Amino acid sequence: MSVERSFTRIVESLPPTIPFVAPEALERQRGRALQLRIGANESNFGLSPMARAAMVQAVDKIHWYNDPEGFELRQALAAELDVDMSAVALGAGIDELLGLMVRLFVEPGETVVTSFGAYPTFNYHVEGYGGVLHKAPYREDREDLDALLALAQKVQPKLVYVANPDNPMGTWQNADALQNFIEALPSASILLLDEAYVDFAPEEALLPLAPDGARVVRLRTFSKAHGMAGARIGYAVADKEIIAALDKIRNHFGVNRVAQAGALASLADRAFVLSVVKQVEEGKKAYAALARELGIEMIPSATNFVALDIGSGERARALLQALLARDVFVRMPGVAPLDRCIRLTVGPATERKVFAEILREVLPQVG
Amino acid sequence: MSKLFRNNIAAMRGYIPGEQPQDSGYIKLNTNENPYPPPPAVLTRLRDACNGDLRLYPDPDAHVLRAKLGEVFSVDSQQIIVGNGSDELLNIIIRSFAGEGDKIVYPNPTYGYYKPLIDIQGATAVPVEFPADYSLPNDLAVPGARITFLANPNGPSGTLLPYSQVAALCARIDGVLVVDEAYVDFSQGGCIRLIDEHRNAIVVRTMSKSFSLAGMRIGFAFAPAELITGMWKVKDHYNLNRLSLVAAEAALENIDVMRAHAARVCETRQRLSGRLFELGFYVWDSQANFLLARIGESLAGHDAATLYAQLKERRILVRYFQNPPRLADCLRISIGTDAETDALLAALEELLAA
Ligand SMILES: Cc1ncc(COP(=O)(O)O)c(C=O)c1O
Ligand SMILES: Cc1ncc(COP(=O)(O)O)c(C=O)c1O
Repeated sequence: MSVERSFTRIVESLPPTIPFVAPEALERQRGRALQLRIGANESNFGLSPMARAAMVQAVDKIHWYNDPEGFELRQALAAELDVDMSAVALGAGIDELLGLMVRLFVEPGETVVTSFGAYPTFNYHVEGYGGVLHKAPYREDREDLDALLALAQKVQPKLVYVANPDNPMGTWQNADALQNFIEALPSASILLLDEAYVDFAPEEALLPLAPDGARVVRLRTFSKAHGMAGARIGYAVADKEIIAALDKIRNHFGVNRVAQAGALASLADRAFVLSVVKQVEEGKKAYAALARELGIEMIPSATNFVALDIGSGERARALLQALLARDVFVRMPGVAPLDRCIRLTVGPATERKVFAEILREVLPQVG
Repeated sequence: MSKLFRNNIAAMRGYIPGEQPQDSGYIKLNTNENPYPPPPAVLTRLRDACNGDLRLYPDPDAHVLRAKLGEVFSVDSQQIIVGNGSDELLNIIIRSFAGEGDKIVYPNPTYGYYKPLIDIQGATAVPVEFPADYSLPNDLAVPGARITFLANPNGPSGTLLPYSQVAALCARIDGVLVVDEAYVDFSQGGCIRLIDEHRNAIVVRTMSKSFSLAGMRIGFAFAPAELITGMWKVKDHYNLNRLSLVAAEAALENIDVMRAHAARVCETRQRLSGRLFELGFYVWDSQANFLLARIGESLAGHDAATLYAQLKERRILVRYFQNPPRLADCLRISIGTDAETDALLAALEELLAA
C-alpha cells in the first residue's frame, strides 16, 4: 500500500496550528489552574434552572438516538422568530454551522470575504475547505461595511462574513446600514451574519429577519446569553432553499439529546436571559468606570465582553502575559491596530472585583 | 438560489434518517440502539454535569477522555481522535484523505451513511458487491482508492470478517483502510492492533451501541499518530460537548457493565436467531446487536414489506430496506430486551400463521 500523499492537497497545506489556545491547554502547560477564565466570552452567569431540569430529565433516554430533525426545538425557534420551521436549522454551535456554510457554497479556490482580525474560526473553515480569503480592514474598531462591499464587488466572493455585534471589538452595525449593505452585495454572494451576541445588542442593531429569497444566513447560539457553550448548540435562520441544502450535508444527529432538551427549556425561560443581559449591562458600566479610573479607554460594547485599549500591541501583549502570570485568562485581537486591546468577558460582581484588583496591580508594570 | 450551491451538493439527494419516533409507545427494534440503559453511575455523573459549568466551552483536545481511552484500549493518546458520533469521524476521514473525484471503496450493502458522506465531498463512491454470504469480496482492493471502508461487523448483515483477512486487505490496498467497528463489542473480533502494524489503518468505534449512549453522540478512532495529526487539522475544535465527554469518561470507568449488557444481547440474539430459523427465515450469522432475516421459501406468500408494516401497526418497529433489491426480502431486527424479543416473536408467529 502507499501512504505517500495520503492526505488531500488541501489538508496537506493546512498548518497544524489551531486558531487559539484553549484554557484547558493553558492550565496543562502551566501545571496550574486558572483563577479567572474570562478570555473565551463564555457566560459567567450559569444556566437557566429550567434548562437544567430539562437536561437532567433528558438523561433518562440517552440510550436512544436523538431526534435528527430537532423538531421541537426548531418549532419553538420558528415560533419565537415568527418564521417557518423550514427556515431554521440546528447545528453543534455556530462554529459547526460556519463550516457547513463554507462547504455548502465554496469550491476549492473560490473566494470569501471577511475582515482583518474578525472571528478566526470562520477563516479556519474557509482554509479547511480550500477557499481563498480576502480581508478588509476594520475602521474605527468596527467592521467596515464600505470596505467589505468594495472588496466584495472586486473579488465577487461566494460568502461574505460579518459579525453583528462584532467579536473581538464588541462594536455593532446599525440595522439600516446592514440592510443597505445586503442590497448592494454582488448577486452571487451570500452574507453570513454571525449574531452570536445578538441577545446583548441594542435595538438599533437588530436587523429584522429577511423575507424569503434573501441571500442572508443568520447564525445564532445558545453559547452566550443562555450559558450553554459546553452543550454545543446553535442555529441558522435563512431562506428555506438554503436550509434544505444544508439539510443534505449537516451531521444529522449532531445536536445531542440533552442539549436539545436544554435549549428548548432555556428558550422558554425569557426571564433568565433577560437577567443575564441586565447583569452584563451592569458589568459593562462597572468596567467602564474601572477604565476611567485607570486612564484607559474601553470600547463601547454590544456583547458580553469588553475590549480595553492598552495603547499598543506591545503593551497589550505584555499585559496579557502579566495577567496570565496571575492566573487570569483573557484574549486579545490578533492583528493591528485591534491588537492594542485586551478582550475580557463581563461576569458577575465578585469576578469583576477580583479582576479589578489584579488589573490595578499589574497595569503599572507593563510600562 | 440553487446555482449558488456547490455543484455536487446541488446535485445530491437529501439524506433521510431512519424513523425516530420520539414518543415511547413503540418497541424500537429499528435503529440498533441498546435496550439496556447505561449503568446508573453513568447517568448520575451525567445528571450532575447538567450544571452551570455548561457555560464553559469543552476541552477541544478531549485530553481526559483520550487518556482514558488510551488506557482502556492500550493505545497512545496521540493515536486517538474523538468525534460527535462516529458519523462525524467518518466525515473527517473523508475530508482528510479524499478530494473531489477521488475513489472511495466499500463493500455493499453496508452502512448507509458512507455514500451521502462521499457525495458531500464530491468524491467517487466505488461500491463492490458482497457475495451472498457477506464474505470478503475478491475485488475490494481497487487501484487508486484513497479510502476503503469496511464495517466489521457489517450492517445490515451483522457478519464479521476475521482479523487475518482484514489485515491482509490493509496490506494490499491503495490508500487508507477504515475499519468501522460500531458493533464490535457484540462480537469476538477487533482490529485495533492493525494501527501498530499498518501505517494506513484507521479503526473507528462508537459509544452509540454497546455503551448505550446513542443520544450523546460519542465516536472515537484509533490510527497511527501521523494520520491523526492530519485529521485533527479539519476537526471542529469544540466538536465534542462537555456532557458527552463526561458520559464517555464515566462509561469507560464502568466498562464491565457494558460488557455484561453486550453478553446479554448476544444471548438474546442467539435465541431470536434460532426461533426465526424455526419460523422459516434465513438468518445470517450475526456478530452485532441486530440480525438480518430473509423470508425463506417455506414462507412463500409473505413478504418483508408487508411484515414490516404489520409489525408497525402493532407498534413494533423493525428496519425494512426497499433498496437494494437483495435486501427487499429481508428485515433487519435490532436485539431488544428478552421481553421485547418475545413480543416480536409472538407478533411474527401470529402474522405468519394468518
Ligand atoms: C463571533 C462568534 N461567532 C461564533 C462563536 C461560537 O459560537 P458557538 O459556541 O455557537 O459555536 C463565537 C464564540 O466565541 C463568536 O465570538
Ligand atoms: C456501521 C456503523 N457505523 C457508524 C454508525 C454511526 O454511529 P454513531 O452513532 O457513532 O454516529 C452506525 C450507526 O448506525 C453504523 O451502523
